[in-house]
Amino acid sequence: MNKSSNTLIDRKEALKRVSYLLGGAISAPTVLGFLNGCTASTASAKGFSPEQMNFLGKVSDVIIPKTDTPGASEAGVPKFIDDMIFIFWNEEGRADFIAKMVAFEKKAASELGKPFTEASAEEQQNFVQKEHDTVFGGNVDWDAPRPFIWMMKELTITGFFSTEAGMTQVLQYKLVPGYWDGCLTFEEAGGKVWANP
Amino acid sequence: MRLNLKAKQENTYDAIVVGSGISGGWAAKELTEKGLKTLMLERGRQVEHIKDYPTHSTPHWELPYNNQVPPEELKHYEKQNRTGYTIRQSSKHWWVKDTEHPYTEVKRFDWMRGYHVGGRSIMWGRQSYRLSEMDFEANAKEGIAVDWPIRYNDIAPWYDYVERHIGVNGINEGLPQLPDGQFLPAMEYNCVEKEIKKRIESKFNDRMMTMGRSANLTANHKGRTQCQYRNMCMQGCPYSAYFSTQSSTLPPAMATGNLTLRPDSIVTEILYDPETQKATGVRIMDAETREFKEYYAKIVFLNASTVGSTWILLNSTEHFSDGMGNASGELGHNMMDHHLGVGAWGIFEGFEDVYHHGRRPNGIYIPRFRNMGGATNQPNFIRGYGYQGGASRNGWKKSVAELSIGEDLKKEVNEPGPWEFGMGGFGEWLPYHENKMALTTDVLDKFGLPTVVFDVAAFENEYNMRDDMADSAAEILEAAGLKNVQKWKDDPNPGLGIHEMGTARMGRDPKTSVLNKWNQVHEVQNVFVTDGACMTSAACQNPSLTYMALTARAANHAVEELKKGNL
Repeated sequence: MNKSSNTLIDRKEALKRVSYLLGGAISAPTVLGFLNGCTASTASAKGFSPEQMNFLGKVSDVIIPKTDTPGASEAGVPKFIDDMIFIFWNEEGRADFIAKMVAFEKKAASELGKPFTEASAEEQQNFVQKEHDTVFGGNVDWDAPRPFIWMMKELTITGFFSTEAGMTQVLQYKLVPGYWDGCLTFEEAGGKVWANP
Repeated sequence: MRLNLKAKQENTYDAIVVGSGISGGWAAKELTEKGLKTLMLERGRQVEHIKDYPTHSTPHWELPYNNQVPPEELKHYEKQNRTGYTIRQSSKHWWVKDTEHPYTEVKRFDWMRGYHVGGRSIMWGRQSYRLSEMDFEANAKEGIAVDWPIRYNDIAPWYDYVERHIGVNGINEGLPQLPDGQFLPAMEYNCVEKEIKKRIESKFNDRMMTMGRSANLTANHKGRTQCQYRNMCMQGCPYSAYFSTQSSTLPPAMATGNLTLRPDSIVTEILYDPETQKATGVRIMDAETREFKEYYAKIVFLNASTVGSTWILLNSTEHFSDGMGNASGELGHNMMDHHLGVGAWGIFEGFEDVYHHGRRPNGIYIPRFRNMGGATNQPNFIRGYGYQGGASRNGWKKSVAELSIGEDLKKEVNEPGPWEFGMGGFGEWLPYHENKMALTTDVLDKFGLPTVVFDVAAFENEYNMRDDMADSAAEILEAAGLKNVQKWKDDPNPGLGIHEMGTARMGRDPKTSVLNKWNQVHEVQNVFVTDGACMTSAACQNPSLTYMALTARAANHAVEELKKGNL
């Protein structure tokens, strides 16, 4: 038996695997401090401003839009992000997120010729998609400090699939399954992934 | 004088049970059903069945912050959070705050516990396995520590008795290392586990896979409802579908009319009469008023958990300078746990259209296959280990990097990921005299009481076994055709198995053990210790079922001895 193919799993691999299994539930800031000069923030010590919440809602809605099921902001994702950044993340991670958010807003405003939140849905979508593809389009660098779009994607997905809309309408969820069957087809099981396996 | 006599009379029972967890509930049930007026003392708060399980049916999205506990609050649970799975919004109320209940670690020791009626019977893992004859014989055969004073035949009828009452599901396999039991129907394998079982058993003569044996009901049983496959056990079960004090032992004890339950009652010592050489009762501190009170009884059952019961004996110093029952010098020593955090994981290719319904609160079990004679004997370690695990298909196929954004994301998350199979070992930890707990007054808890100092480590036998646990797990998974097989091996952190054992061990000789074969303290025969403290060796099976069987057996003996006038 070839034992050399068995390697002890390292931390990076573990993080990657967690991101497979839980759909990116890496909510702790894995980034190291990487401030690029932006320190300004209109956020109070307790949370994002209404304008910032609006901005975060618009970005998250590009990541998970409203269709026949609710989108990110309707499901409550901005509040989730606010809680994570201001209650869970440490000072360093919070400063990093805010700095990158401000830089993202600035870049959007300069490219779109207006604030991101005032751009059309299509313009918002194109801008976020472009930023997304820059990071995730080719070889993904798992070791690099996380760009804003990466953090937003993780936070939006994690947040959305912990909400009622995400868990029960996009995925499926049964509080009381009632029975166990480990051998039925995907269709027989409802044709959707279990939100809470 | 008359008033004092009256007070003493009011505080007098036939029996006192200290602790209301897995073994305390059993002691109370057995003693009350045999007619003894029994006082059950619990150091923590009252928890009424279902009513006091605040999250028993809370859906995930109603738990704040995606079920995570904020860092500020986590500071109170620095040690309790070491498991990584216990301090959640859904279950944090079952664990003590380390800031209120400190302890000292000469070496890292993870002491996981909750102070409330029901104890850890509310949060336990429910895996229920019998020890075998080879476990009871091992110490004597190998010259390790001291011999168990009992053999499998002494405990077998009591295993039958407790299994019939609590309801354990499983499959009788006729294995010498894992005796059969009185089982409810087993839970089902999933398709992938079935296939992997077939492959393992075709590739190995010495290894097999069975379904986990767990104290979850697979059929309605004694007024309790069968499992609804929510896998929310640690949040408390409104169906009474798993064994806990509240679901299974407290109701019949209460029904006798013989039980008085007193929560918020911290037993600080056992009272002793040097003339009769018997215990006369216990002293408690009321956790609310901080007042001391005394209660009296003919017999005392210590079921305060391994560390808790040992703490009480060590703190009973009025007539015993080194603690009650410590003539041997073994009290507080020989601490064991099961060492875990080692195993392997891999991807199973195939069964892509197969999925599952329900959340099974149980997994598969690969019973011990090492050091059972002949070719199974190992050159560099003794004893053995079992594996627990399972196949699962969790979440979606794509990683956060691969997922699209936009409308497509909602479709992609509904493509399930591959089947995976993982298993982790539970290894036997030998009893070493130097692995110990002691009391200190340098650090006091929030009640001003002495606290525990742990000095426990793994040694060569454990480390060598762990290498084999990782290698064999990978070997099994590769033989079963899994892909991308990866081993893991953390440090063997004592306590993390939450199976602490052995600090008041049973034995044949009062010079080398604390308890006799009926769990009586050698020097104070009307004090019984029937929780994990009594274990002479750890075996590799999850131990709670054994505590239950030993408790029922000891309670039966205590009542017989009382009737004969011997206690």
